[in-house]
Amino acid sequence: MLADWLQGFLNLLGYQELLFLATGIAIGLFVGILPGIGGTTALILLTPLTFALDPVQALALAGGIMGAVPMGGAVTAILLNTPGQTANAVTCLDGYPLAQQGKAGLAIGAAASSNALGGLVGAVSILAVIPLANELVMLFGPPELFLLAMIGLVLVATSSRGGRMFRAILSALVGLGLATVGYSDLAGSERYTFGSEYLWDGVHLGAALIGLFAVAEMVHLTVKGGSVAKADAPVAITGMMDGLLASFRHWRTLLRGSIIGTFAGVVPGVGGTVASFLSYSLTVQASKEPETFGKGNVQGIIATEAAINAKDGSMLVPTLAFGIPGTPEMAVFMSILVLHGMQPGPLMLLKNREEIYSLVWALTAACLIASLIGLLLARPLAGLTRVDVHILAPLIIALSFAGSFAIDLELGNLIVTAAFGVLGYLMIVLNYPRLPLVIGIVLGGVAERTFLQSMMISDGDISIFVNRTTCQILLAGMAAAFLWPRLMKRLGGRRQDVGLTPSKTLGDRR
Amino acid sequence: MKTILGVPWIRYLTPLVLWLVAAGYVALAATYGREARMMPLLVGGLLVILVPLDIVSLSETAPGRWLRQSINPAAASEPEAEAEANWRPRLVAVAWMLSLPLLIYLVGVVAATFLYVAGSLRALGRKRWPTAVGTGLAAAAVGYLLLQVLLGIPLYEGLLAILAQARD
Repeated sequence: MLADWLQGFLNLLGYQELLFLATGIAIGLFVGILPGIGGTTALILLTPLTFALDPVQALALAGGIMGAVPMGGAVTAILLNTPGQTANAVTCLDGYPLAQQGKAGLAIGAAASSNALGGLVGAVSILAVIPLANELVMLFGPPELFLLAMIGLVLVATSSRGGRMFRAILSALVGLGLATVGYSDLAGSERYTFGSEYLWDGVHLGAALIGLFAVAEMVHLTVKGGSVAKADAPVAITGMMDGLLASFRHWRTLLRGSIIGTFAGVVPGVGGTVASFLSYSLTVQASKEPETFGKGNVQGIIATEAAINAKDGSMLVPTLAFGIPGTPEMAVFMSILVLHGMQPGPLMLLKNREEIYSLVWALTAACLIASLIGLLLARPLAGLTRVDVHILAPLIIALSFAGSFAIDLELGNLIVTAAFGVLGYLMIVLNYPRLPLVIGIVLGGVAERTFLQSMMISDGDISIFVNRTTCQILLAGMAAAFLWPRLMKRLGGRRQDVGLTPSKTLGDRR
Repeated sequence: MKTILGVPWIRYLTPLVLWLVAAGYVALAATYGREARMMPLLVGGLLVILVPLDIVSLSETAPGRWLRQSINPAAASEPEAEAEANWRPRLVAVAWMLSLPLLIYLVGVVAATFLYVAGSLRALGRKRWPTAVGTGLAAAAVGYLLLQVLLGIPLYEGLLAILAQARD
């Protein structure tokens, strides 16, 4: 295996391979910055072009894109509260408040180092996971995936701060409701489409996300005036080195995020958004100062970015080993493999090991290089937070709508973005959290599908959710997720009574 | 502004609309097949039950105060809503944003970007005409170059252009 690992690395060192890797990284960073146009769109557009390349060159290009997109998305999430891709929505929670406080350098530094280190952990873990992949995937059937979705929803509610747990539940329920729009394969019918063909595919998550975060935030800033960074925030972009070192200082957060990302990547259908949110929620719950999250706690960025990048490596496992693409991005990537004569499945691990390892190397290099470029660009990009909002907002709104249309060339996306822009703005003004709504849309489809599948498997017997060992472990995890914050709060309350914990009164907004 | 149960009526508007939408959602779900209605009935049913609690917790009544203290402290503070009681600038900002998708539908992505950016800078930002037009042109050019030229995404040309082409 070590020989294949080294050969995979050497294969990547040809000048053409390096050129395609660099091109992939540049494209990945670029599309990561543009709202809505994530790695999936970039891969779709480039798939026909890879036909002329040899397999390693094509994998270098694809790996460069997939590895670099999260860093591009993190930069705009931090500076403009505009997540480049869905998973980066969680990065906004603490990254944007830091940018508002004039600490964009610290936030980008932390994002860069956790990106790179999370990517490294993910790449190393893929080595360990591939031999165990079969057992791991087999542990997760429909009942387990349903419970995993439920855990995600419990975490949404319990990690909401500022007394907004009840409103987080309402928000998540609205998201779950929106997830039922469209044609359901299992139910065999269309729902809430009102005769619109566009809605058969459901509410487009990318278009909704652009509206909910980018557009809503810019409308809010337009009303308020000024700039993204508050007027009294420090002018100099400092603290990048502190940000870089923060990932080492909070190594437990980094490791936890990387492990969560790795496991989330292995389980098909979970994806980066759930990974980043799970990692963030667990970090909040494990923290001694949970009330500081959502107001600019650097650990929030580390947990999120580490999970997103670790997932990038491990999500190759179900795709390559079983031919099960866990995300739309992986489905497109699988088509590139097939185009180059590689058939994903158990045999691929035996026949194409060198190519697989070249891909893992390409992903790792892309994470590291993209993080470095992100750091170099931090200073000029952070200047965006000081631009007059009456100049910045129309530019971001125009780019957001153009990006929303460009996702899949649908005019319907414009309506979805506009509607979610209005909804997001109302939620900001009326103090409803926005992230649970996104999580509800993401998990709604998985929850319904796996619930119906479980009912079919068990012939309607609901005890299928408690009889299986993995289900029991997950139920215990769900109970812990619900009870842990209460226990910590009670303990924290006692500490506060004796003056050990400072009280925080700042409001948060997500 | 007129108050209901000690609170300006407008604060009830959003949760009330949400409840009506949830009720309609449940009513529609009831018309679907067994598997298709399971999830919508569960989600919509929960919303129909829970949203009234949010509405009551907004009010200055004994049950409202109790709900705020026990389950919904966020209802006590809607800082953004209270900080700016005047809704006019908000409506203007939202309406202005909504004009962009309409512009794109009519004149296409590139022209709409120019018109929207230049118009926003002039009307909302009070910038001088040369600055507004120059920034609008630059934004449209960058958008065209990045999306259409570099990424090869065919941008929508607008209904007017399509109609003009059809007439030719």
